[in-house]
Amino acid sequence: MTRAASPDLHDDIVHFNLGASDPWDDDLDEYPEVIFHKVPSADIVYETAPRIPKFVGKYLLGDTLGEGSYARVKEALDTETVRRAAVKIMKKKKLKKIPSGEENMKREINLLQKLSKNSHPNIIELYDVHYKAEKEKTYLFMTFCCCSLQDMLDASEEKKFPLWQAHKYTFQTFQGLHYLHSRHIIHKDIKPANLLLDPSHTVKICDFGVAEELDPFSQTDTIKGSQGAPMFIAPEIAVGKDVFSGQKLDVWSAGVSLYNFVTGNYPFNADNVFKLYRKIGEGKYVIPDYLPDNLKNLLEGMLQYDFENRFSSHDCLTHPWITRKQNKSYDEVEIPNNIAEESTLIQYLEQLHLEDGDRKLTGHSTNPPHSSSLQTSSDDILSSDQRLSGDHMLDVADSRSRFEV
Amino acid sequence: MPLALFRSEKTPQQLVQNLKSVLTQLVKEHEQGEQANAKKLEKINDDVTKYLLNAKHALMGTPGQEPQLEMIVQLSDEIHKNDIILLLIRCLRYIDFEGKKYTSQILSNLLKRQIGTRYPTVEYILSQKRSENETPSNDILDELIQGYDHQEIALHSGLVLRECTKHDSLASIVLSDPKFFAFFNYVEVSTFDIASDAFVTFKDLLTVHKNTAAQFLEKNYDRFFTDYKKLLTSDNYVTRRQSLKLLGELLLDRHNYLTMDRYIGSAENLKLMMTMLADQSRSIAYEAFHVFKIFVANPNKKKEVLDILLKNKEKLIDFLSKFQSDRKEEEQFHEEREYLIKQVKSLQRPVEPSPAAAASPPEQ
Repeated sequence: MTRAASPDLHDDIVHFNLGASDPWDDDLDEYPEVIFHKVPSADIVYETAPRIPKFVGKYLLGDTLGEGSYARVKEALDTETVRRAAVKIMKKKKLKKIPSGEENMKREINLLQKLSKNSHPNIIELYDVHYKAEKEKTYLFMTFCCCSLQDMLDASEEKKFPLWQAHKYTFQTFQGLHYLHSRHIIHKDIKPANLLLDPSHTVKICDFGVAEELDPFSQTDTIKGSQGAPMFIAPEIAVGKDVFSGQKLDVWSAGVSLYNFVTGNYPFNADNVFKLYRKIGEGKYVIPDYLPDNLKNLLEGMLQYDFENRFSSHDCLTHPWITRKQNKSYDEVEIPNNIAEESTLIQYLEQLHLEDGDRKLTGHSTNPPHSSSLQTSSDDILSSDQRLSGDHMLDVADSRSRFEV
Repeated sequence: MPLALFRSEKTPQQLVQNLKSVLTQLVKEHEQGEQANAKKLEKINDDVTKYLLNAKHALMGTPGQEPQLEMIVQLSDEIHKNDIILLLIRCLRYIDFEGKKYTSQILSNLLKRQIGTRYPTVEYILSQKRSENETPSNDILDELIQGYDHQEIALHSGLVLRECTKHDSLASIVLSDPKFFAFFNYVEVSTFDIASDAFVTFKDLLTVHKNTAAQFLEKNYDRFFTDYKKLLTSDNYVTRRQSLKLLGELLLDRHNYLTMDRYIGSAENLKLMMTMLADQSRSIAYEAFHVFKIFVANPNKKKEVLDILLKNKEKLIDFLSKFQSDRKEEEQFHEEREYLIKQVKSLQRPVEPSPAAAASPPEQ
């Protein structure tokens, strides 16, 4: 079925197994052969290892959605309920290389499990945790999301959202934050990259790796230390205070995110972290004049230098700019990929359930439209399922940055 | 607009006037009791339903036709001006099934309508607030709460009431209304769907607007938890389980810190939770565990609480080490269980004068 298996083609075409360099793929051992011959570059055909359907528990794994330094996120399907899910896969070996990596993972699982007992629409929900001892991998099955707000900003023309869309996402973020705070949890890393969107455009706060749970018996929300992203760090951290309010820390970061949504810029920016911290510590920033007055007021309240005077998450939720209904305009920033409509799992399900002949018939239905040129140039050489997988590989490569994990 | 030809009224004013007059007739007929003319009543009922349907279409449009903004504005103004909302809710029990459905849809739609930051219907209801007595009350909200007394309208009025309680200002009136305490009966009525609906409303009132709810709980602590105990000790399994779960949620909400502090300082409450921990039902015992753990984890235990825990120290350690140890894939539960066992093991009577007792506030 694959090209490597047909011996008469070995003479003129180099077989590149793109999966071979992939440390995440455990099936690569089955395709060790790489044969070198001199060939004109035009004859090189790239292809991936055949996609073999893989199961973890009751979940069927799909294509990779994105990856970061210590985790990879794949699409998954709960084969009992047919619910779409995302699975975050973390390898112990990789976690060990990161300071307190394993600790963060444990904390994230712990908090998510607590939160998922009474799930909130704006918090990512943890469905299941699996651990495979022989591979030392942990699998977290969670709400399926299409992209982060950061990806959307990156893909938008002006790197910002129209006001109504910023309003919609900010309101949902506030609701999620308010809920977290009422559950004694400080997120500590609020930023557009950690605000995901599910296919129905609902914001899901994710990544609790550096979150902190407050002592439920303490009346104050005092915390120590934070490891958030530099751009989003509050002045009390930038100047190195010892103790500060946890809730207000999240409000500040949400304020920087909102500023980013509506202006496309950051309130504080510099070439390096030291300069950035100094600027944040000075606390001088400018809100552009073109923003409506009540939005300016909200931003000022959230970006108050002194956390005592800063808005609480409740103040944010009840602020006039938030409670005011916004009229939708036509300049919507859309989800930059078509994964909401099209699951990457279809090809795996076809492999599982369809015979070779059937697959050719249905193959075109999962082929993205831009693949037509590929098909004509290689129609006799590649079977339809190979075109499919090769094509999806391009998609994945395009969207590597989709999740920051 | 060709549809207008088939309607008996051309303007929102006329529609509202017509609706008002048939509703008034409806009430009059029903007041006559047995002498009511069945035929006449039927005719009135048909008219009511017809006008309600027209109003619904004007507000929400019809399939394939969007409502007109101007129509919506005029119609809701007229409804407010003529005090139709209260009349509708009072008549709800006389209106036929379809009409009840339209009524709850119309009222929910009105409550959702927003202009800028304003909600006209919410403001209208707020303006109906009576404060002659010491406690402010509101006829519309009163009627909606009492809807749970009448089986035939409970689910319809419940829907509208929940729409009202989405607004902090209205929720706070419902909470300060003495009738709120009727919920403790409503959540236990024998009709299951009504009891469930009432419980959802009850829970929303206590959990959605956290600051308002926290103030309410602090202010009405004694009465609330005296009544709440009846739910926790109810004969009805569903009531017991739901209320126990809600209790855990309330106590662990940061906004309710003061309430939690008071609740876990009471030996009575601890005894109740320990009894429930040993409940025959696994689920009840499990929910009770999640409340019980707060008592044990509290670093500033009151003397009376500590006394009970100390008295049962050995028994508790024994009990907890076997407690639902067969729960699978609940690592967190087992961790918490281990933690509690450790805590109980390390319990000891403070040396007099005890630092723990000195740190905790005096007995109330």
